[in-house]
Amino acid sequence: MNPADRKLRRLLFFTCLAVYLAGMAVIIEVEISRPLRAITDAKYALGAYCLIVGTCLATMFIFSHRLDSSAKRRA
Amino acid sequence: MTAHAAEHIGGRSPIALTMFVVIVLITIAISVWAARRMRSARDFYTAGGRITGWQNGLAISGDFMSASTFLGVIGLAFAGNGEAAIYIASPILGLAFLLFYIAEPLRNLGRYTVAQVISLRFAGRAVRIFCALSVLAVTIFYLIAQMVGAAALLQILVGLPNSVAVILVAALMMLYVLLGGMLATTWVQIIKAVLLVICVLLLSYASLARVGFDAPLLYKLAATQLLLTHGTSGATGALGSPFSALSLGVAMSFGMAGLPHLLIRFFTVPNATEARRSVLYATLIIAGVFLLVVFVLAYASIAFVQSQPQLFDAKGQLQGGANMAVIHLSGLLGGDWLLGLVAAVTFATILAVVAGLTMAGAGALANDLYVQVWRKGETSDLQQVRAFRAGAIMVTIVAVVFGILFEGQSIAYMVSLAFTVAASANFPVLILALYWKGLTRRGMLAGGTVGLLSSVVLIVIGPAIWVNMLHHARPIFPYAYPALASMPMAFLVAWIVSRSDPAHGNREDGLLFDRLSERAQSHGTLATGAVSH
Repeated sequence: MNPADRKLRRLLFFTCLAVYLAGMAVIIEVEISRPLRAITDAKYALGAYCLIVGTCLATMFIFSHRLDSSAKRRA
Repeated sequence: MTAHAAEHIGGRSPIALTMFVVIVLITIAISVWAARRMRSARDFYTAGGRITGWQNGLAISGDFMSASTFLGVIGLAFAGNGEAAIYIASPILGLAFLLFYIAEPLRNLGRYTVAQVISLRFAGRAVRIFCALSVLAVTIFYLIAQMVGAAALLQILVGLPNSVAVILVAALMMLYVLLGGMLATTWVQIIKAVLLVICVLLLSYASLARVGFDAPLLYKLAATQLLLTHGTSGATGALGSPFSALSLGVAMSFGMAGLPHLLIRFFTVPNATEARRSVLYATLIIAGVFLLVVFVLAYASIAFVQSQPQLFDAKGQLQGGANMAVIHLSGLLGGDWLLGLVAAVTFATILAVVAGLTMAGAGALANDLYVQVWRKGETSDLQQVRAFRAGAIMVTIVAVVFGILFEGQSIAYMVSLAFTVAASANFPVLILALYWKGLTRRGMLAGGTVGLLSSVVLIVIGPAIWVNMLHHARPIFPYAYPALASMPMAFLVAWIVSRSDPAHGNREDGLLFDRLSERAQSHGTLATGAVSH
C-alpha cells in the first residue's frame, strides 16, 4: 500500500472513531436518563446512531473505491 | 419457564410448529445439496473460494446477526438494560476497522484458517497451538450463547426440557457441518439473513401499525411501561460504570476483528476486491437491521409485551426469560403465523451461526492441531476432512455440556464474553502480525497468551461466573466486561517481550515482513488466489 493510501486509511479510521465516541456519548447519556425523557431523547439516540453508521459507511465506501481504482490502474 | 411449568406454544399452535419444521427441513435440504457439489478439501473449508462479495456480505451479516442480536439485544432492552445501545453501535466501528485493516490482507494471505496467516510470519508448533486454542476459546463462548438461545426457543415452542433441546440443536448443527461444510454453511447463512431481514421488516411494520405509525407514541408507551416496571432507576448494566461501558464498547468493536467464524469468511471470496465489498454490504445490512431492532422492536416489546400479564409467571418473570421478548411480541402482533415464522427464522439463525462456529472450531482442531502440529503437514485431503469431522464432533460435545450448564444466562452477555476473548487474544496477535515489523515470535506468543488467559480468568472471577454461577458473595474482579484491561495488557506484553527479544530487528524477519506486506496489500492485483501453504 502506498503512503497516501496508508494516510487516507488512518484518517478515515480516526474519523470513524471520533464520530463513534461522540455518538456513543449521546446514546449513553440518553440511555442513562431513560425512562424519564425517553420520548424526546430517543430522537437524539437515533440521530447519533445514524451519524455513526453514516460516517462509517461513507468512509468505508471512499476507502474501498480508492483501492479498487488503484487495483484497476495497476492491472 | 420450564416445560412442565407452562403451556408451550407448539402445543396450542400447530401453525407455528409446522412453519418451524418446514424452515429447518429447508436448511437440511441445502446441506444435502451442498454435499453433492463438493469435490475437494478447499470446497469443504472455503466453498471453493467462489462466493461473490454480495453473497459473502449476506453471509457475514448472517454470521453476526446471531441469537444475540435478535433475542439478546431486545431481551436486554426489555429488561430495562440500556447497554443494548453499545451492542448495536460498536460493531459498526468494528466493521469499519475490519475493512480498513483486516479484510484485504487476510484474503490475500490466508487459505483455510487465520492461524495460517500468522504462521506465514511465525512458523512453529507453539504458534499453531496458541492460534488453535484462542480460536477454540472464542468459539466455545459464542457457541454457549447460541445454545442457550436455541434451547430457550425450543422450550417455549415445543416444551422440550433444556438438555434435550441443546442436544437436538447440536445434532442439527453436526448435520449441516458434516454434510455440507462451508458451502452449506454459507448458503444457510445467506438464506437465513434474508429471512431475518424480512422478519425484522414485518415485525417493525406491525409494531408501528399498532400505534398508527406514530413513533413518538411508541416511545411514550415504552417510557410509561418502563416507569411502571423499573421506576426511575437511571443507568443499568454496563452504563452504570464508565469502565464497563468503555470495556464493552472495546470488546464489541475490536472483537469483531478477532472472531474466527467471521474472519474465515474472507477465504470464501475470489479476491481482495470482493472481500472489501463483502464488508460494505454486511455493514449496510447489519446497520439497517440494528436500527429497526433497537429503535422499533425493543421499544415495541417494552410497550406491548410488558403490559400483558398472561405472559409472565407467578414470580413476575417473562415466560422463557427476557431473551424471548421478541418471540412474544411476534405472537401479540401477528398471531400464530408471525410467531411461527419469527420462531423458525430465529432458530434457523442460531443453527446457521452454530454451524459457522463449529466450522471455525473444527478447522482449528483439524488444520492447526492435527495436520500442522501432530502430522507436521503430511496428510491427504481425505485425512484432513476426516480430522475436521472428528474436530466438529469434539466441539459439539463441549458446546452441549456448556449449553446445559449455562441455562438461563443472558444471551447478549454470553456473546459479549466471546467478543472479549476475541478482542484480547486474536485481535492483538493478528493486527500486530500484519502491521508491526518489530513483532517477534516470542512477543507474539507472550502477548497472545496473556490476552487469552487474562480475558478468560477475569471473566471467571468477575460477577457473572464467580457470583452468579459459583455463588460466591463478591467477585474478585469487580467488572463484568474485562476487555479494557485484558486487551491493552496483550498489546503491552507483546511490545515489551518483542523489544527485549534478541531476535528483535532480525534482518531476515524484516525481509519476510516486507514480502508478506507487499502481498497482503496488493489490492487484488497480485493475489487473486491465496498463498499456498
